[in-house]
Amino acid sequence: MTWFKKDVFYPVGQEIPFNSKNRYTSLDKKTIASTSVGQWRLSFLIFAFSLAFFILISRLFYLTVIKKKPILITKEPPAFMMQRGNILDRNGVILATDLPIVDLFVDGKFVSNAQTETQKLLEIFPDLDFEKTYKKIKSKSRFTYLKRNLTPTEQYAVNHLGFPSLNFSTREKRIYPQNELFSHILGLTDVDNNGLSGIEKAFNRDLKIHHKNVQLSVDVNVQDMVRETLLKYIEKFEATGGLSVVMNVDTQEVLALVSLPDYNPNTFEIPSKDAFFNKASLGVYEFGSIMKVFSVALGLKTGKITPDDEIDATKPFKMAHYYISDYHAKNRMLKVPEVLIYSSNIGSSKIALMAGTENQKEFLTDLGFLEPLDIELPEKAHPMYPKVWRDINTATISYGYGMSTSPLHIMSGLSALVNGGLYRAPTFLLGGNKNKPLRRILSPKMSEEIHYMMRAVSDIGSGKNANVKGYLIGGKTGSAEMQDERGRYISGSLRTSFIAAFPMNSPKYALMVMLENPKKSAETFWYNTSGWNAVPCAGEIIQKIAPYLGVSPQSELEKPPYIEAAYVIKEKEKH
Amino acid sequence: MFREFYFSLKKAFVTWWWTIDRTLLFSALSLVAFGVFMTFSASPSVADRIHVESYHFIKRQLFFLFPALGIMLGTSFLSPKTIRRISVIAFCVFFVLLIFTLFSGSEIKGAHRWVSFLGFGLQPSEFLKPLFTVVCAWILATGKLVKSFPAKIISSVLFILIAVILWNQPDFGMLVTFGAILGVQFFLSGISIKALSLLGLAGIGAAIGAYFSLEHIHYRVNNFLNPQVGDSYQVDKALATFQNAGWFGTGPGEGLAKVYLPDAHTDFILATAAEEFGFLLCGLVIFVFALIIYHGLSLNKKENNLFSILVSAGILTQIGVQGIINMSSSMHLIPTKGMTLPFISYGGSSLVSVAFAMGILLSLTRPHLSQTGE
Repeated sequence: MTWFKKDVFYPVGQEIPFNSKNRYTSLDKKTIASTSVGQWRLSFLIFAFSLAFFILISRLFYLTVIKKKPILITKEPPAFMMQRGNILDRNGVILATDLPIVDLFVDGKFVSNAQTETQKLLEIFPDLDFEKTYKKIKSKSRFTYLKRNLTPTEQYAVNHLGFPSLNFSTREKRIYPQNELFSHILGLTDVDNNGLSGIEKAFNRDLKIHHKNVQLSVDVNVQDMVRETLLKYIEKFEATGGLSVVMNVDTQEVLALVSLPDYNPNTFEIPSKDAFFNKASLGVYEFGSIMKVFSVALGLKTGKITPDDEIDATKPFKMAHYYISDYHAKNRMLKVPEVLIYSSNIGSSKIALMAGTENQKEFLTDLGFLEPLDIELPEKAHPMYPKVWRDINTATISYGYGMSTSPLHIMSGLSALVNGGLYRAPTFLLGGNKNKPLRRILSPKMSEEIHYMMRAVSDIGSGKNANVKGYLIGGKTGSAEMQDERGRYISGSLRTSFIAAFPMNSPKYALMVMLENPKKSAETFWYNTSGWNAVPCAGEIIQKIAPYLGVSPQSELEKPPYIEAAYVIKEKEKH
Repeated sequence: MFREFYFSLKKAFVTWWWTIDRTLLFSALSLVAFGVFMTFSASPSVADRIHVESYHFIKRQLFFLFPALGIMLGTSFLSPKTIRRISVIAFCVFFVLLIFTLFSGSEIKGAHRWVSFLGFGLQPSEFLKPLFTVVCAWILATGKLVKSFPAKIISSVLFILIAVILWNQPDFGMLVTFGAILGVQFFLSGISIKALSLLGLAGIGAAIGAYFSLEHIHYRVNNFLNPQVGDSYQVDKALATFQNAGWFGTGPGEGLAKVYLPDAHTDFILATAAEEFGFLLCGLVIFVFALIIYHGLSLNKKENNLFSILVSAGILTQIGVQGIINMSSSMHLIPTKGMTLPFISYGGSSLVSVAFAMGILLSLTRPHLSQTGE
């Protein structure tokens, strides 16, 4: 331990002047040596700091002068700018907004007579508990909540009491004036005002930071009519759930999207998993016979069939250990429209096999069925399809088994089928689709042939229970067995659906209704297939929304020969 | 008797006046004055937002202003030896207080950095910075004089002890500042480039470790890298505040964007300053910072006392690094890091601490001391 010896250690600050080298001690030389090392190091340090400050001044110049963006003074009061933006429907009706909410608290420092104050307060709020309130007021605490969510009248009454100890604190609360009506589209926000799901999440930045309003393509009236009707049919058939989507086929704007059960976003209760789930955009299902419309379109597109052709459905056929047979077996040659009218599995399988596996895969890809949709909602479905696509898959997929996709997928595909053959991903924003690419999937002539066939299904086929006079509804039914969580089919429990478009002379709107596990009853002659529940539900919805959407009743389509022929055969078979 | 006292006092003041480095003195005073002015401008909107009276922060800042100026000028009268003695004792006191924050410190915005002292929140780490600088400089200088003295090891151990506490507070920005001070002192005391690179690598390793183990660091860095994903409310507001400025700004008190800027009086005070005083004046503030650092380090070139060099370089590093981190994070050049702008930001601990540090610097740069001793 040499370093504290008095004769060696120079307390710093008491240095010998270094004017002459002769006066250095050996220890001083070391110090000097180190400071001379320090010379270039000091220069380096100076350079580094100067560089940093130069960058800072440049950045300041860039931000303040080059990127100058003066704030315009608006008449809005400052507090208002802190609000989250509103969400509006296509007509400007408010679907979600922030409201200032007033809470009442007591400041114990200014309480003069706790007894009187409590009594007076209870006159305004009879539901408050005297003992508890008295205790809160009497405690000297500077901040104790007495009552939350005061109405303006109540606030006025409390102010009128004139007690200096009673104060208010204000905060913003997200309010959904339509309650559960748009729960799945809008989503929820958390206590920090961040979107958790739906549009609230997707546009969190615009709403929260830029305080922008978001205008959706949905229509509050259409949504309400759809939800009301769907709810009625779910109750009527004791279904466990259901969904319905209405879409404009030309703009692909979603006008209504209902998924039941739903939840009320205004209550503080956390919705159940089932209620929170958006079946229409996030759920993937096997749709059954609905897919036959797309199979016929595939046949037309590839040129393998024309509407006049006949398909051999005389007997079931066997493929890779499966029997493909018909539910309403006709056991004869079927004209192409009849494949849809009688919903023939054999017919649609044969059409798909004629078109070929590769073409089917390509067509379904073009329709967007195999990829997540390009939509605004964060709740996007991931379709499921076979990794190895064999001929047997081609056959079963042609009538809706072996491939699962979401109802919104089906709706955008259907829109493309009936709007003249142009596909575009759907949107939830008003005019939100203008920049999305359009692609042709079918010629206008083929699209028109589909119109006639879908119209015939609604007129004389499985969709006839939705045949609201004058609106020229065209549709296709589908009933698929539901699967349990392990993917096994549950015998007897069906997911019944109906897709439709109207008016069929020039379709404007498409609609889908799906019911989960509707029950049989005497009224439905102990049937539970689509035609007895989803179809009349869709009919009732169209009956309500068509006049609102400005669709006027039209005279019946003129039937081309291939449709006429199907009507004639049907008439003959009746006798 | 009284006459003698008067003349000796007069002599002390006259000597002080002719030996003090006036560039440093007036730069520091002008920054402090600007800071007080900015507190008037920036803090009322923040005070209103947290429901205290409008002049709450201004009163507190003025309360600290005169003690701070007293400390700065008083310290500049002291000799290096006295400074060293005071610093060693104060270092021990504040080191104990720093440990104390972990156990009973009050929590503000999720960190335990403050202890309560006479009704004021006191941040020991702020005071420890200049004290640490002096103590380490002393150790390293002694290490040069006495070969057997393990200077680097002792100063590293001190640093690691402080670092562990800061990591647990957590106060990562402060940790970086301490690291920078010691790094510069090592660098100037002649550590080999190889060893310096190793230390640099260790620093980078610690930063990566912080990213993966400290949640708020992870969050802020991610927010910086992907501004589209995270919540960038504060940064957006800060940039909007800068962009409202132009050459001349909106004028004092006329800023609009500052109203929505959280921490407008502390971490983001530069944004407020820019909005109201424009590029020219705000650029001048940055220039004055640069001037203090440049001038201080240049004076060191003429200095041949290693202790003096290490102390002043350490203090300049502290002021410089803190200023650079604060300004870059408010201008969105680095992830947001809560750190005050020396001299200017609101905050009693910060002001008193930087005043003390500046006092030390002023004292050490008085030329006569290093030549004639005491």
